[in-house]
Amino acid sequence: MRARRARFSAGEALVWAALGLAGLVFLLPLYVVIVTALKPLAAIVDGSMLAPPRDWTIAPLAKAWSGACIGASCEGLRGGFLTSLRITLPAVAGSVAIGLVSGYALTQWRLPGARLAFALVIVANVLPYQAVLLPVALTLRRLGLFGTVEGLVLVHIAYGMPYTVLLFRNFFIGVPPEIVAAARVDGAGFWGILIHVLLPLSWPILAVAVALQFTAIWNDYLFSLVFGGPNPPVTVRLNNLINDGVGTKEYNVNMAGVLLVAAPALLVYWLAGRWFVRGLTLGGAR
Amino acid sequence: MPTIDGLALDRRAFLIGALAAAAPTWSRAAGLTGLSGKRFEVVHWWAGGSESDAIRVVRRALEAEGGTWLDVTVQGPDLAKAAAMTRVLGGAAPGAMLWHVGPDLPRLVTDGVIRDVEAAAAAQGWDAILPAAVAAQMKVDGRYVAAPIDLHGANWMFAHRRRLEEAGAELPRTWDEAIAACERLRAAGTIPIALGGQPWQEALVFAQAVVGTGGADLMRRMCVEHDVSGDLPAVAAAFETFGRLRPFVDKGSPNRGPTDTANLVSSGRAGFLFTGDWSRGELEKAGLKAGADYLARPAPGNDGVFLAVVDAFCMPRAVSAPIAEAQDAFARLVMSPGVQHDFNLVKGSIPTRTDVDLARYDEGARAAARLTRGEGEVVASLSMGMTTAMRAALYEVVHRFWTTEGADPKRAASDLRDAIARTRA
Amino acid sequence: MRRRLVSGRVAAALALAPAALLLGVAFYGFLGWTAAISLTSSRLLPRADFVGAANYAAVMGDRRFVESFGNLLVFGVALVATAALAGLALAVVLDWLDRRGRRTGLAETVFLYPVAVSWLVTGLVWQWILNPSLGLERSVRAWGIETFAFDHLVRPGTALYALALAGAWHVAGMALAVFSAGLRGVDPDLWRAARVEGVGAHRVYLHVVLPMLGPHAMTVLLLLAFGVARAFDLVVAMTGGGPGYATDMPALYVYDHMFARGHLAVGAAAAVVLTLAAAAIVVPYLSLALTRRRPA
Repeated sequence: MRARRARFSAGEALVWAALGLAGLVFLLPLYVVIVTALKPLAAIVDGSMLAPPRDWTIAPLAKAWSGACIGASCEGLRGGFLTSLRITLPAVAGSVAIGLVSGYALTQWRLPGARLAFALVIVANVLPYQAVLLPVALTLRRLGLFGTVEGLVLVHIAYGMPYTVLLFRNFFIGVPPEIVAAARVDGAGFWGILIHVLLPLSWPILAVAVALQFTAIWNDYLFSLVFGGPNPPVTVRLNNLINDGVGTKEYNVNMAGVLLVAAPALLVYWLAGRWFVRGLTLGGAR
Repeated sequence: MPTIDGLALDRRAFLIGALAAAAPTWSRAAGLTGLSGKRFEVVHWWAGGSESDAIRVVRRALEAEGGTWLDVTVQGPDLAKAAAMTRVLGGAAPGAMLWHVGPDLPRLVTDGVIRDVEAAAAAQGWDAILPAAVAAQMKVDGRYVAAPIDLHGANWMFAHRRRLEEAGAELPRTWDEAIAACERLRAAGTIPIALGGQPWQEALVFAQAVVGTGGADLMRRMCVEHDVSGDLPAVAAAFETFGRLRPFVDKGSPNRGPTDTANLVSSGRAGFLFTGDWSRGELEKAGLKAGADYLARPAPGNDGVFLAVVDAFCMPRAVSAPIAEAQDAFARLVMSPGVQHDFNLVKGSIPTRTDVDLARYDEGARAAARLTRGEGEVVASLSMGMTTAMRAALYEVVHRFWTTEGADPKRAASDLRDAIARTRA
Repeated sequence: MRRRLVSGRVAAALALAPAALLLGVAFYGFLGWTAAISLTSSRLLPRADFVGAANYAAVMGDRRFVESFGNLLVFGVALVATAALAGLALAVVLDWLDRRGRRTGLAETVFLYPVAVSWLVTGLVWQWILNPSLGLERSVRAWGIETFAFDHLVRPGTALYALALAGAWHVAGMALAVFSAGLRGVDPDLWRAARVEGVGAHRVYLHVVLPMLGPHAMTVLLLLAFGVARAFDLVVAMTGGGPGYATDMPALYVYDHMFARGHLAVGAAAAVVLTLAAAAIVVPYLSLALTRRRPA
């Protein structure tokens, strides 16, 4: 698109070789996980981690999905997926919506104190979550939301929000002020400008924000563990599955579990990947 | 899925199936109406393997009483306790939470977190059926505050029989003999000691060295009386013995979990494993037979001493009246002979009740039980004798000593004295 | 028109209310709450007494806590430098190939996918690969290369760097994406001019394009710094702070005291110190971001 196809050169071959090598390093963990998830246990204990399976089996995947015993129940990871989705989807929608609106309000309306507010957002991004677990627990109790899906949704919106505000703020600050000024002249108000003028420009950064939030919330362990109820999200189940308690360590089932739990986030990334660099190109990266 | 799990698991599955079939006989005998129709939430850390099998014994017993089991499994005791506490703080106290028996219990009582289970204890006469050293740790102001479900010994030695014979080594009775045996194993190309470099695993071996060099009395002064200021030379000697084991551990040791560590012995790559009796279950699960494939006996110099670790269910205070009623029934269920027998058979521990018939237990477990039933001395282990804070401070001293090549045992001994004194308050 | 602007500003201020509420309560309010707990003698449960700065004195006087900050610094710098440089190098290579008309979408996916994996899983998998008795070392030795050593995670001198490498694997894609975005934003006329003048691509990158990526580098450093602040799961899964205390981290210390040792107040004091230190790291960015005019 940008350039005509250049002639292949020796230098380029070298670059491709280096790139390929880097690719192998990046793919090594994925390879190990997949290969291990498809091997019988004996082949793992006695054999090499790198060897491809000689006898392929999907039994570990099936077991991790629905058969493995975790604590006093033997339902595998299956039940956690619904909980995780019920938490992740509204929490992603909420934190992205707040980020979108706040990032827009902070940049296009010259509010007094906008810079200070942004500074507070940045610092919020480095707060260690361990520091607030106790106040969160006591507050959820007050709200009657402790151990509920709604409670976790609220927690994830609250603690995902600084990151989305940062993303959208950096995106919208790159939008030329003339666009918004012109819309204002045409009589558009706060919401009208956002919905009719800026939103159509924003879908790449929306894709980035959704992908990042989905990953962060789907993969969360700490909040899910502490505030999850008797039907916890998949990450908590996965950690219990892989736990190093007493018993034979079924590496193949563990890795199958890793694969199953990682799959939705990987899928979202794969789908959003095309827009990823683009979303950042349009100003989000500044 | 026999191709994956192998023969060992099949045997286990059969055993569990048989137990499940047998369940109604004894659970009806328990006759606990308090659980019927109740939704009872239990927080515990028994996530996988034989532990998961064992907790399901309790679950089925509760369900046989007409209750519904709400399972909250959290990996690892620290996290599980923290999660249970957060639940209490969050106003969603569980029906029961698993805890280690030790000095944390009085604190939980004085902080108003848990209630006593004296009603169940009086009804079942726990005073007469628990080992005195265990009972003493479970009472606050003379009232029982938790229902003990198992009894583990923390001072055992396991050895891979063939590796030992090939190296021409014998099962050691003292630490000097153990070190000689380790040298033979190393010469034969076997990893002499399987040890996971996590503070708690290292501390287990250190405690065995304390008993092995200073006897049960030194262990009691450290672990129960919490004062070793008069025993510095003896503690230093324990550290010295412990430090002599350093060269016999493989370099993959740091942060290795207990399962991978036990696997080193079950696969014949390592000779010795110094740990608690919970590892017996792993060796068995890997298909090894006691006597034929692996050997087990008390750690060097630990004969006649049983370092007790007890897991118990505590009952949070902030629950509704019907759940409080269910808590009393659950305490009695946990201490009922049927649950005690079947749970511990699966888990690899022994019943806390001394009146349970052990005919179906293996010889190792029966030998351990004899120690707790008058033939030996029951002493509190690190987990039973120390608060979490004191134990963590001890772990830090031991972990630093173990991971510092050439560390000074005398310095470690005085560090340990200070750590214990600092956390005694 | 004027009235429109005013009513728009009112709407903007109202639209910020949810974010302001969450920020005020969940971050700064709760941090204050934790700071209050750090001034008490709370152990397993919060207590409402007052012991002054005793817990801070205990924390600052603890060798383990002070050492853990040194570890965090080494780990953080190593991780950020590795991930940023790897991301930059990959972004430049992909951009160059792109300009030569090659397809680079697949390569981008390969380098980006680890971002979607959690810190916990990153730690679990790399821990396995780096474990000398289970992972790569054993596999390569099985091929007959008996002297192959890949045991950096279990050696006190190198464990921090092994940890940082695994972390860099996880976040390098983020750096790559941001730098790629910057490279694509470069004016095509610039490249055309360079071609007409006959200037080599490497010189254009080195002298013209890279200096233009300053703001992107700032963003990368900031995003990676957020990552370091959250890398707790990685350390837990890979080393648990060991061997010895070689990879101990302040967050681990907080966690250990609050939960494992049942000493809430000391953990809270350590958490407050950690938060202040983390805030101090982003202050340089802040001063830059807040004084900078709108980018042209």
